[in-house]
Amino acid sequence: MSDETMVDTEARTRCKRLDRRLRQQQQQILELKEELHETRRLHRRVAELADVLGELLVPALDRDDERVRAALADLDRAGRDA
Amino acid sequence: MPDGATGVVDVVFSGRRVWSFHAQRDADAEGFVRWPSALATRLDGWVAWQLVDHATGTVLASGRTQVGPSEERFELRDDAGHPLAIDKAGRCGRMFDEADQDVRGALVDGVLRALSDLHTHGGAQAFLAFGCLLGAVRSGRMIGHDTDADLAVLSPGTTPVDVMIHSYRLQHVMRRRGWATKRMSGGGFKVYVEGPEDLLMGVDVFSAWYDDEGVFSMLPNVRGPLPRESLVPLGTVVLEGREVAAPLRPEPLLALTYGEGWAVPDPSFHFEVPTSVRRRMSGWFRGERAHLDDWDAAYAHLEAEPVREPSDFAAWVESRATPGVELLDLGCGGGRDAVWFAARGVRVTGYDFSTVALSRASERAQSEAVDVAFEPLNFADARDSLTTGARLAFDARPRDLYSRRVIEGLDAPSRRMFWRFCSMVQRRGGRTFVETALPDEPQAGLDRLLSEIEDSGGRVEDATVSGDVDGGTQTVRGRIVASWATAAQGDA
Repeated sequence: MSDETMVDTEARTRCKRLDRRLRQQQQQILELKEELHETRRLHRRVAELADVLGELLVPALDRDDERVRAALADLDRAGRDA
Repeated sequence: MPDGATGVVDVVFSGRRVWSFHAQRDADAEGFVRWPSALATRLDGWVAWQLVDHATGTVLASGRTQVGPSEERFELRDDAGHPLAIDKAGRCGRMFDEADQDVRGALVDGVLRALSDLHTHGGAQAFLAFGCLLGAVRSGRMIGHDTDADLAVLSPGTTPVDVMIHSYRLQHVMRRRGWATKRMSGGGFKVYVEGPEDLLMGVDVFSAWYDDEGVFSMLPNVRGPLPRESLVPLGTVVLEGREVAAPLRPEPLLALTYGEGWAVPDPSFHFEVPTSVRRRMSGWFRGERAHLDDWDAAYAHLEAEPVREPSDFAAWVESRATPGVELLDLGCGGGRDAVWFAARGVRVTGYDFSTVALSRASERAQSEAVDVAFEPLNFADARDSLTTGARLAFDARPRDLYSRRVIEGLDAPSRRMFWRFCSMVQRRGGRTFVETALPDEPQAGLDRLLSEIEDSGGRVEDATVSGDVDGGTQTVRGRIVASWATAAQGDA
């Protein structure tokens, strides 16, 4: 094999390697973006659960069925749009 | 694009501005500007139009054009005849430059009452923001090309979780003070002010906060450096002759919100939100209203003469339903099947996340003279789903659940909430009947749903796949019958 051919072959091999790495990193970026989005969505879910617990926990701890019923009806109205 | 158009261009119909665009920013490569969809869907009849240079008032072009099949002159007005225009978000609504002083006065009164209640009963640092603040600082008046009022609250939280918990608490406070409210995202809700002639005007209450690194954010789309001392302690500005709570020095917040050119009026302005800000805000705060506008629009245009025959699925379920128990129609849409079941003597409650659908369903029930309750329910909203599920579970009795062509429209978290809802509501018995489209790999799709049901504690009694796969049409469907009964009658 001539020197020129060897250089060409090495360059092509390096290009293929770089191309493969680029595709892997693009895939990793996509996965990281999805994981970041999932983590961000958790904020709303935690806030929602905290709100439901907070509004219901006190009457529930009091074992006061009427207060729990009233709290549920009130919290349910919170979800009703105007 | 007319010759000479370089900046903001007002689109005038019959002498009245209905929309504005920016000649350079909004035109495509061929020099065309697309009609906003809120206007395009309404165009009909003929219109005498002008394109006017906003800065100079020069008429750049004019004409009379047929825009639809009607022979009438097109007027952009609501059902009560009030003139409408397109706002910066592309929505169609009443504009303040058309509203008389009574409307402006009522809105400012409402803004002042809302600020007072947020402060006094919610302990919140609430202030004027966005268009209201901009108009107050520029001219002491509402901006002519704006349609709503905007307030912000500086949250004590420094993370999105805490900001949302605070926003939820404030909404509870306002609701218990008698305000009609609507949650728009985790960090924002509307309160409603009544104006003259039964006009209902929305006032947004957006959350704002500083994170642990001191970066300022404000729903829906503002994020960046803002000196805290420019915001608090709050000062006041004059709006329509009234003193209203505002940032101590509004200028830095206005510059962060609208850019350095905020002082110059621009009716064609629209927010250009950096992708990173949009992704953050959407990821943290949004999701519960996904596709809601599309469904609302679909039900708003539902045919006046509804289909009277039930769906095939309703007829299939009727012979399998538990005798004598209430039926909950989850995702009832326009009420076609809910009303049909009710007409056959079943006690029915219909649920949907589109209030427009629920209105249409109520109209259908009234026209058929049947008694059906319709309630809002959103499986993308954990508070709503858990509360409604708990309320129904607390009222312990057997129920059948019916859901046709809803599951396929739910994302995975919403679908898991759907099954959780079923498990809460059917503790005392009854069966769940679900029909879903299965367009791709039908059997695998069905098996995934059956696994989800079993993972949520349910028992699958029957599951079938049927329909055609020919011709590319999505007629393959799955039908599932499941149950979740756990506790015997009288148990806790």
